[in-house]
Amino acid sequence: MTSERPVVTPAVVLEVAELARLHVPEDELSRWAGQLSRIVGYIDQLAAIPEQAFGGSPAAPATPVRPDVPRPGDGDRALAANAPRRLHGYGVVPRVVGAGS
Amino acid sequence: MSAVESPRKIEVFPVIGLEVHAQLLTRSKIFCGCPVTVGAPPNSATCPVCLGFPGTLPVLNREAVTLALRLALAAGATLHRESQFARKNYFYPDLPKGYQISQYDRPFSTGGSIAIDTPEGEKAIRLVRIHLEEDAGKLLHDTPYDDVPENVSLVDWNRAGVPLVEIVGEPDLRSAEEAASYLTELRRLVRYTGVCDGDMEKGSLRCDANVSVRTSPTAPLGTRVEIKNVNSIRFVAKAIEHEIERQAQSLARGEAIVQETRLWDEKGGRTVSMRSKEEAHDYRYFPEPDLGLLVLDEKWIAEARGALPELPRRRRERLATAHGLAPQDADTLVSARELADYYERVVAAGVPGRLAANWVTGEALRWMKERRVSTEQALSFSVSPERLAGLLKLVESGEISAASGKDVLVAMLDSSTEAAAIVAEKGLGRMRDTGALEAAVAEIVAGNPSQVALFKSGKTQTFGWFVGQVMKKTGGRADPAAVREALTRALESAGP
Repeated sequence: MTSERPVVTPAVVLEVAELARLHVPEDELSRWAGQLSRIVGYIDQLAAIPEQAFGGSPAAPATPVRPDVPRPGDGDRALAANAPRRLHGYGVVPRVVGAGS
Repeated sequence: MSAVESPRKIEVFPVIGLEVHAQLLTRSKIFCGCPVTVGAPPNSATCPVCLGFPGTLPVLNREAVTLALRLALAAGATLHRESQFARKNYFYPDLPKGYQISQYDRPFSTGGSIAIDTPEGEKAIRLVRIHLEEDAGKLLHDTPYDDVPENVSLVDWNRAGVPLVEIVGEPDLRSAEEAASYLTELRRLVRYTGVCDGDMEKGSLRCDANVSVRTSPTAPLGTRVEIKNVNSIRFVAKAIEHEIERQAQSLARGEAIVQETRLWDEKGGRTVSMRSKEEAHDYRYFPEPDLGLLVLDEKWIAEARGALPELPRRRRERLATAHGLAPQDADTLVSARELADYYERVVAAGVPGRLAANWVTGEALRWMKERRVSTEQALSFSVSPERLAGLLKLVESGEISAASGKDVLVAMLDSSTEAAAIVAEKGLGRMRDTGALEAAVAEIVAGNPSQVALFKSGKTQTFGWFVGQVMKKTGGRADPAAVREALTRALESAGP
């Protein structure tokens, strides 16, 4: 595909980083913009392939459903094995309200 | 169309739209088999799916869809045979996956309406859509524990993945009162249909209000402010009233309204601004790749339709027409499906509709409140509809007076004895002994010579006083007609 590459500007990188609560140092913005532009450009190349190349798009399948039957999920153990910190059975996360940041 | 005058005398016309989340009454979560629990130990009702562990896949709970369909049908909405789930991406610690599975541009239901009563008559509040989604977990900022540092919050993911419907209303509401009516109707509807328990305090029904004002009823819509965090219908009305007033005063001062989210501060009785940072919404919705389309077939829709009960407004009309009830009484009776069922069982047991309505909306409801039996629990009230009917038949036949009936009802509250047995035991039945009635009349007449003199001098209104005295003397058991007859005779023959 030869069309112009989609432009991810440093401003777009900043906006996305803010939404993702990520800090990107000022001097890395243009490098990130360049890399992201290449990634988005690659996806655009995929979109440009005609659908026939995939043998037409199949009808989207209906999502399967399950009966409303509760069963224990053992999440407590999964959390114990994976959560970095727990207190009184709760997960512990940085305070997001009233923390002033 | 209601206008609100601010102290600075700027007339504003509010425009209000509500977004309501209702927790569906399923036993398990929407995309995994974890039980939907109340008050379970933190994180005990979770699994790798609702905790968002890599490699897990959601599987849709059929019952959640059936309940959502039932509500959409009750609201007269258009159902879409194919709809799609979407990822709503945002970062918050109560959202383990980093996205919420919701519906976005292809919800299962659009349109429909909720009818409310206004002083001008019935008004239909249109719905934009009803869609399915999953709930987030619960953050605890102020904890009861001493060993929790101030810079952390605790999180319980038991609620993550609990099924919800979001009911998005058009901005058709024009006052806080209309908003309260809408919420009341909606809550009644979700309860009637068995879709949600409608408990706002526990958060199973949650309401966000979008409020804007304009300076004429036809002006373009003003900048809207969203109010979150309101947990009762009364507070929704108060928060909206406060917000209308706040916006009116801003306009009167020549200030622009800022589009923002405000929280209802219950203690201060006002809305307060959330930080604008929280407003940087860009949810980057995209179709949920882990789920196929939600495809509804006729059988599924028919199943949901088949479970629809008679809806409250229709039932109100039927009861009012069939039994000649006052609109207010009919409205009270249908306020909860179970209370209306209670009433209809009293009637079915052979009590005339109006008598039954008077007693159910009066004494029975008063005692239910006294005993902390909610209208939704009416059918488990200690005086069953059939026992109340037994009592009311005695009242209707004149076997006991209405006043005695109230005493009998009190005696029935804490016993399983039938009304007739209590009447017999307490000797409350109509006085059949004419000799005893004559004696009571004679005693009253003899003991009150001055009243007799008044009556004789032409003050005939004292007759009512005599009737009252005899009724009191006989414990309300005498037949009023017989009392009048005996009194007339006794007073005529009394001296001087």
